Amino acid sequence: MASAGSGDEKAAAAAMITLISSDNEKFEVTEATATLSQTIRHMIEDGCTDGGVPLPNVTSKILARVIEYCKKHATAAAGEEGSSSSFSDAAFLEVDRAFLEELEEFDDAFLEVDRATLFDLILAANYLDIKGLLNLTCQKVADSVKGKTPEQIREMYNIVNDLTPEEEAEIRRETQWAFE
Amino acid sequence: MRGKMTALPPPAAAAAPAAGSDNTAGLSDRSLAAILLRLPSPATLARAAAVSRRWRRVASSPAFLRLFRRIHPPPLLGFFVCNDGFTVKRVNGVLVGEVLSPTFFISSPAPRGLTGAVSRCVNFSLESLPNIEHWALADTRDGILLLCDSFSAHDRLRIPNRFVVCDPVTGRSVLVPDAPIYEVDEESAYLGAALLLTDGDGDSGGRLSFEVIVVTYFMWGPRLLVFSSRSGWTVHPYADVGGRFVMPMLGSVGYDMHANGCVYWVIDDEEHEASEYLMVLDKRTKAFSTIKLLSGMRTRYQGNMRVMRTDSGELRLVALAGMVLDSWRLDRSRSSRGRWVREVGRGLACADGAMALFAESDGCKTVIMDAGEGVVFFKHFGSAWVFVLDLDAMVLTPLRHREKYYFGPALPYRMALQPPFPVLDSSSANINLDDELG
Repeated sequence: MASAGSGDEKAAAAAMITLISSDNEKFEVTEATATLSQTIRHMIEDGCTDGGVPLPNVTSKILARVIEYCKKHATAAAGEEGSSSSFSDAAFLEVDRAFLEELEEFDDAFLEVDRATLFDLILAANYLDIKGLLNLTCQKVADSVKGKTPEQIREMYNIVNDLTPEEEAEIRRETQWAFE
Repeated sequence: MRGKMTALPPPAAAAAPAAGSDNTAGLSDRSLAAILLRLPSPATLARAAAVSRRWRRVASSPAFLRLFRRIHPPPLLGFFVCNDGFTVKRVNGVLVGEVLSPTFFISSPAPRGLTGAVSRCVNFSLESLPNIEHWALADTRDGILLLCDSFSAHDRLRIPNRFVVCDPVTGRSVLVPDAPIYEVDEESAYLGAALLLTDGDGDSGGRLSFEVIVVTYFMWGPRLLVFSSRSGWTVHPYADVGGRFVMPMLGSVGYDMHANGCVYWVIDDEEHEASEYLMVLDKRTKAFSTIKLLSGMRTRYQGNMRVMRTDSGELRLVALAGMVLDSWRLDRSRSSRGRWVREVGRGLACADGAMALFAESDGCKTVIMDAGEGVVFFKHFGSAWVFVLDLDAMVLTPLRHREKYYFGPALPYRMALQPPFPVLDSSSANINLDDELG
């Protein structure tokens, strides 16, 4: 990348996008980072990003986290594309593995958030249509649910049990097997 | 996704939820579904579906469950083995027929985390079904069993008119309105019944939708009675089987075998062509076709062969000659008609546990009772024992002994969660007014 001409650098500099959170904070990001979001990619393609992209559904706190994720994963995507010609190179594969491990560690650390933030991240990933982030966050919630009883799940996420006694009795009868 | 920007709620919606409020309230059904799809097993999903009405609605919708099954292929719990649904006992000198529930053979290795589901299968009782004199197993698909009101799955002279669809794990069942068997020729025979799940065919009101296909047989050809949970019974015209004008006698037609969305019968057409072929019914299209068998198979196996029940897409026959078990595969890589390829023959004598099988044979011929998912069920006429052969491990195990006279299908049972059952109005059965008045 460093060998690229000054023209390319200028193009890269020009390809900065401003994202505006619901509380009016502005974030400058590269196009490569921003386009991990399909929603923003489409807006760029439609040419409606001048003057910044307002994201009225995402707070600055969450947007900062989302951008952190996108930056890391955009680098990963660029790394894959840039070296695709040397796939057979053992040294490259070694580097690649190390990089993937690093990415995994990043994802694990990234998910060390409180529950409210985790769900806010899901909402943001869904709204911004960032597949990787949606996968990651949904899997985290699924993992937290899998060993639990309905009562434990309700308690964990403050979910109100609105099932009628009749429905509960029916569910108990039909899903008793799943508790054994 | 384009144009989504315009439909955004106002920024106020993004306010942080107050402590103690429902973390999941902001999730769309779609996102909730995305989370639930990542649960690893039917048991974890069943528990999550008991959290609230919303979780239940999302987790039990037909579209969601279809996707869940695609991501997590339903695990094989074992086999429901029919002992023809009855046994005969002598009570005070009088022979009395007694209805018996199927036996469940747990697959090996035992499925993990589904102990509760397996125990439901082991304890499955015909008593849990609507009160009809007798029920025999007919077919199975993704966690659902189809049974018919037959004394024996091999009684073909009487066409059963009652069918029940049930889920042995949740205990749900629904009785199908009586089949209009008066619509077919009186001398028609019964070749079996098949179950088809039709969840993917459009809206079903959030409930399980299915078809029951009853195959009747008459000299002009097979004739289908099809029940759809959406539209009731339909009587099909005589089907064309490869342009045959008259069908062979009933005695030349083997018992039904189910695999890959089709039903197969071995037909030994001695009179007309002195050849053996498979008659094939495609459950979805309802079309019949034939697949020729090699002439050597007829003399070598004398009909002692079965299509392996599976949904892998592969058509495989297991056949027994003497004590050598052959496996044939229809190779369709070169032509759509395909050619039969014989795979290694396996001597039953080499299997672990063969001694018990031979000791029990008492000079009687060993027959293949059924085969499915890499497992073959053997028995001898006159012996109460059924032996189960695991083809990979080559281990023979005697079937847990419940009652005598096992003979009938061994249906591989895969555990899958299904949407709520439809409510079928038994009076909605298709009635032909002309017949009623005549």
